[in-house]
Amino acid sequence: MTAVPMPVQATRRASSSFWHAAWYRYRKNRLALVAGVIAVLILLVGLLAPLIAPYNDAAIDLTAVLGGAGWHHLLGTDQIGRDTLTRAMWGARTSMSVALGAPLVGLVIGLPIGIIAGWFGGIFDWFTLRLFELFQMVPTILAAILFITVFGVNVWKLALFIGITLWVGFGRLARAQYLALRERDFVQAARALGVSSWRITVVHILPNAVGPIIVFFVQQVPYVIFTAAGFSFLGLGIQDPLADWGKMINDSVTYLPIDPLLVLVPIGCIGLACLSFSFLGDGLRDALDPTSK
Amino acid sequence: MVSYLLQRLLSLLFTLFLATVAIFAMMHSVPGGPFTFTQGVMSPAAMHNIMVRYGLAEPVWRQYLNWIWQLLHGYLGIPFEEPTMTVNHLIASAWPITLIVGGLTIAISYTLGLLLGCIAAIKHNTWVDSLITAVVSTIGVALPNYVIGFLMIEVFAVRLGWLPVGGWGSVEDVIMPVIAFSLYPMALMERYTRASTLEVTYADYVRMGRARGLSERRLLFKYILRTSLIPLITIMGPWIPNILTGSIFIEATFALPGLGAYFTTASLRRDYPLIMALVLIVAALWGLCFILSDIAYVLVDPRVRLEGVSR
Repeated sequence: MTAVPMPVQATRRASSSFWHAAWYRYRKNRLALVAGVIAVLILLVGLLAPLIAPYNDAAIDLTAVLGGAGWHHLLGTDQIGRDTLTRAMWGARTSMSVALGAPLVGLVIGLPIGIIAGWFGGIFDWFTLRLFELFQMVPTILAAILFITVFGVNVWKLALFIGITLWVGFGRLARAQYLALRERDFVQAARALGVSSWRITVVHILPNAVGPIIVFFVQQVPYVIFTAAGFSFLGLGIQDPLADWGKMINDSVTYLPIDPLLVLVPIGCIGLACLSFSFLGDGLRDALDPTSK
Repeated sequence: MVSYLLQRLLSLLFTLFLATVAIFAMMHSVPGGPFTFTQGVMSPAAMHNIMVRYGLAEPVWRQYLNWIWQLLHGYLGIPFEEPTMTVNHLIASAWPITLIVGGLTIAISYTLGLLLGCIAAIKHNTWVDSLITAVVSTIGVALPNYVIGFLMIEVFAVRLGWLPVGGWGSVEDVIMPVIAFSLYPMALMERYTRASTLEVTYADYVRMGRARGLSERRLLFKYILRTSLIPLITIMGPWIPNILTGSIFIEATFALPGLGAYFTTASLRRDYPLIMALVLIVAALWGLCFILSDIAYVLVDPRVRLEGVSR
């Protein structure tokens, strides 16, 4: 979105390698850089939560219920005396596991199907397109809720169920990429040399198709955070004692008049995570695909 | 054109058939059923009576055929959660509410998004552009719409008392749900409008027109927007069925008695007839919107032709 106009000589200087040039373009985009740093920080906090969190995430302290911000609890405590800062850090862990896990599931299912459709074409392509149509028609929320009610829920199941609804997007993207790249000269050359289909699709084409796929992946993260928080809202998401931003909001809405921090902290976390991944995605798109606006 | 339409409608029917078979099979293949309770287990005889009463004692393929047969007669069955009504009644009473909120949401978010996107593109690289893009994309993508809904209720209903907290009945009840629901589609619309208008603004033919001395106003309305708005049909068209079938989260936040709540309760309680009806509505709307947006695309863009159709 906030594409910085590219000086022409700069592209030429960095044209030694595609990734080099992409990194150069990304660095020039200050907003994307800041967003990237924040996204990495959130991931780090989630990863290191057991080490850096000031309290035990499930420790209940009934002497400090709804204590408000103070020296002992920097961001206050919730209705059963759990430290909000600790819960927010552990929340980063669960929320980010789902937010990255779900697109990963979508990628693992969608990529091979899209590659087969785009590369082999013909009957494979026809069949895959019908499959896309079919899956797009079924209301995703309905399917996900059905899965959750039947199989129960934990962090990885939640990522799996949301991920299953994401695969069509990855499939469509991979198919479009392979359809476009299939006719390019370097692929024709590899074919003429007798390289096997499998090797061409994975070794020769995949590195050329990976840019838009990375961008799409990152763009799914805010969507998954929304959806996962929504499931918490319906009571179908992450369950106690695990901390999750969506659940923190829903648990503490009733205590809003007593301690607004309880709601504002998780809202701030969700907002920060969604914005940073969204701007990171925009920045990556501008960097990896300089022809797009 | 007519034969093309027929062909598309037939393929839609076929996909609908497959979708309902898939959902039906999925519902029935998972263990348990609508009348399997963990507490208060019924006697086998009572259980059997209920199964027969709701047609669940027959084999699954038979149940599907029964459902199709009912459907062909315009009857969607009896919802397990409200056995005194029919699914037809349930939907007829709930969907209008969702449609009103959804229709207003589409009208507001699409017009505003389009307008803001155009303004941002025309004022490209000025503070107006940065302001619009930053504000719109921030409020659109930063928070889930139901969280924004909560905050709005807290501020405008609880603290200030200007608007009702939720529910359905008076005209004011529409305001907050529509605003909260509109933010995300509006942000999408703004982004796509801005991007596609920018792409056209720097096209050679526009530069040529400018060099030729055409007025900016003429360039904008006759040359730029007519081209740039075409891709929006295919991008924003598919969002329409999504919005018209309602948001579970918005309806729960504002306590609207719309269709959205049934998406949750129907799957939670394994209410087969209701689930099938919801799937059918969503899938049919999707399919129709896809066909309509393809046709609209051909009608407004002389460069695109439908496969096998001559104009």
